[in-house]
Amino acid sequence: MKKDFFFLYCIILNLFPNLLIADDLSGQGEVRVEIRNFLEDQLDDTIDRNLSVFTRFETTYDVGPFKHVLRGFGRVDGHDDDRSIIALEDAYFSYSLDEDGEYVLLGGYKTFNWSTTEFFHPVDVINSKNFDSDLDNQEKKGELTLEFEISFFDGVINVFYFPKFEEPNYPGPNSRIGGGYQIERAVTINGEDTTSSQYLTPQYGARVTQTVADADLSLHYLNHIDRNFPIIGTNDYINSGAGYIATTSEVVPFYYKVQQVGGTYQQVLSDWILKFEYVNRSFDVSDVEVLSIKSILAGSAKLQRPADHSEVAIGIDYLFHIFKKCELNVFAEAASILNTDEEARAELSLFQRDVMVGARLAINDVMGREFSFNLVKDLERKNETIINFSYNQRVTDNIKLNSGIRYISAPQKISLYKEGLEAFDEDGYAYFHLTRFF
Amino acid sequence: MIIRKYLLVLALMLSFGTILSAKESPAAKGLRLAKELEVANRGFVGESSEMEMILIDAYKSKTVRQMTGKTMETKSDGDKSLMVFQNPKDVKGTKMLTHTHKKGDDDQWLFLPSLRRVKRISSRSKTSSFMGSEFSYEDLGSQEIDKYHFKWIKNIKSKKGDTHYILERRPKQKSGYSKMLMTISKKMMSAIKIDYYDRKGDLLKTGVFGNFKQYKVGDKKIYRASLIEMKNIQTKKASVFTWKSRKLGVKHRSRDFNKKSLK
Repeated sequence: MKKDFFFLYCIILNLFPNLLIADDLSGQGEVRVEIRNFLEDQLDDTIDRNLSVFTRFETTYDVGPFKHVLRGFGRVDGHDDDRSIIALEDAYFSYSLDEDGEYVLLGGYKTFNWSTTEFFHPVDVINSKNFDSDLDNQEKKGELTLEFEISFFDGVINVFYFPKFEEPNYPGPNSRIGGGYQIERAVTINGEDTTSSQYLTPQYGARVTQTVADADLSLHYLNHIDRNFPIIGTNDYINSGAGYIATTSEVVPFYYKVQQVGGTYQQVLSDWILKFEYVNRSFDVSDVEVLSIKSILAGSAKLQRPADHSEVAIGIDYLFHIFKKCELNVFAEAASILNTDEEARAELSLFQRDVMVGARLAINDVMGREFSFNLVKDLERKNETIINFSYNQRVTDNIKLNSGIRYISAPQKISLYKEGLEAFDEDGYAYFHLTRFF
Repeated sequence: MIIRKYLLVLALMLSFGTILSAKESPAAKGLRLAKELEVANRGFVGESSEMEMILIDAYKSKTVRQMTGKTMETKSDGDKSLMVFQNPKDVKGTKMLTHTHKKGDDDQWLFLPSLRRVKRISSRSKTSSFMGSEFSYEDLGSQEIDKYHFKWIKNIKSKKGDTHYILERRPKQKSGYSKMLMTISKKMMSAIKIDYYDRKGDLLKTGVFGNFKQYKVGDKKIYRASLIEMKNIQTKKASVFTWKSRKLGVKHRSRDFNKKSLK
């Protein structure tokens, strides 16, 4: 079914350049061949190689007070059907209510990026993600949004209404970056109701952004269905008296209502850039708990809802000029989940108390050659490390290659189940992308 | 009689002193000319243009880059500008917003379209190469006179009889250059050549400005170069920057130069 959609999508994509006749309509896109090769794990069920075709297109129509953006992507994987995806990122209209554009109404699907940091993104939570994409740059699905924007001085106030929960995309059971389960359709928890597959649910929020001299500041409030801390498990269980027993083998992600308050701060300090993100999340206590698969595997079989917590990330960035034209950008970041214990932290996030150091060397030549490296180290959980190295360059003005290696080491610490990054232990891979832009 | 002589000597000394004090120092003259240059080039209100840059390597092979840009003049501070990259295709849609300030570092933000992310960049990046060319961001940005020390060197006559001022400009803040030697046309009140010296004091590159066009904004006539050829003396590479369909006197909306306008 997804492939049928994709072929239709490709046809539209091929017709697309012919649509670009109007002066106010602009467009661009890309078609990419992706090769990904994991380290052999000696398991017959897992897929160690991926060969896929990725495409993205975008059109923008901007005239007078009207603006329309349409943007989406699709991927077909020749080795893993579950990896194939088609997603809408942006499909919205906006209208300026006044000549200066200080009052703007927007409606449609929209992708947000509120993050200031390079690797850890506690604040960037609105859009559902494709969890079968790059760990440090996950693809996003557009969120159905009604937005009102008011500009003032060097700042903006945005008020949002999100009428629908957009389901995240999970890796298939045979994927090397999945948990080995067939993940069923997501369920949004609403009070005692643990069966809701209707995603229409009122969610809302507001955000203020302001530039003050060399600093950018933002504050936000969200009351929505969380997208990043689901309880993976089941609501089909019995209480035997001695404990809970699941009565189904289906594995379902349960998503809970959360109130999030947070902000970002970015400050230029001479040649340094200081970045900061903070959020506090409070989950609705009236929402029912479900039986988590982790607790079943751990032998404790307990009912859970996500734990309330805070999350913080700080980062610094510095740019050197070397060998005349080359730029060396060095950065360091740290992230932590706060106001909860070590066990809950480990359950909540892969990066519950981690540091990242990295560098990007841009040769700044015609081919745009660029090397980047980063190392992520867990400060709390022993022997958990990720190392990334990548190289990219233009082949022509329209073709670019990206390649890289990712190494993940997180040996299992207790024998019962894999926690956090342990699920990806030895799931390192090499990749090669060749992209044609149009 | 003696008193008369003393008075005469005193009067002569005073006159000589007045003449001496009226003679402008090279620094004062340099600053005055820089201010005249600024006044002559102010009042354009707003500008929009399409730009093309040809990168020429040491073997004369060429690569083309394309951008669109707009600039808005502000009364109280430096100009605001927005540049949108069009080619190469992998950076198409990348936008750079700059708020220059008369004093202090400029503010710069970069919009990365693939991530839908607006990123603040440090003022240090102004010394970086612009899209791999021989131009740096600071060569192409607004150049506020308060950020430089000026010194008049000499006047020369062109073959056509036009007077050219030679000014030395030294950055007060961090820069990729130790100094710049500017040749300014008195007739057009515009730079026609700039020699850029690296931090060691060696000649790095030379920018030659050409294809001047006269624009009329209200009652004011403003000259703008439509071409800059930048030759790197040390690497033998060159880049040619050209402006196409440039308009002056364009009234932009201030919201087009806000951080939110990048998205």
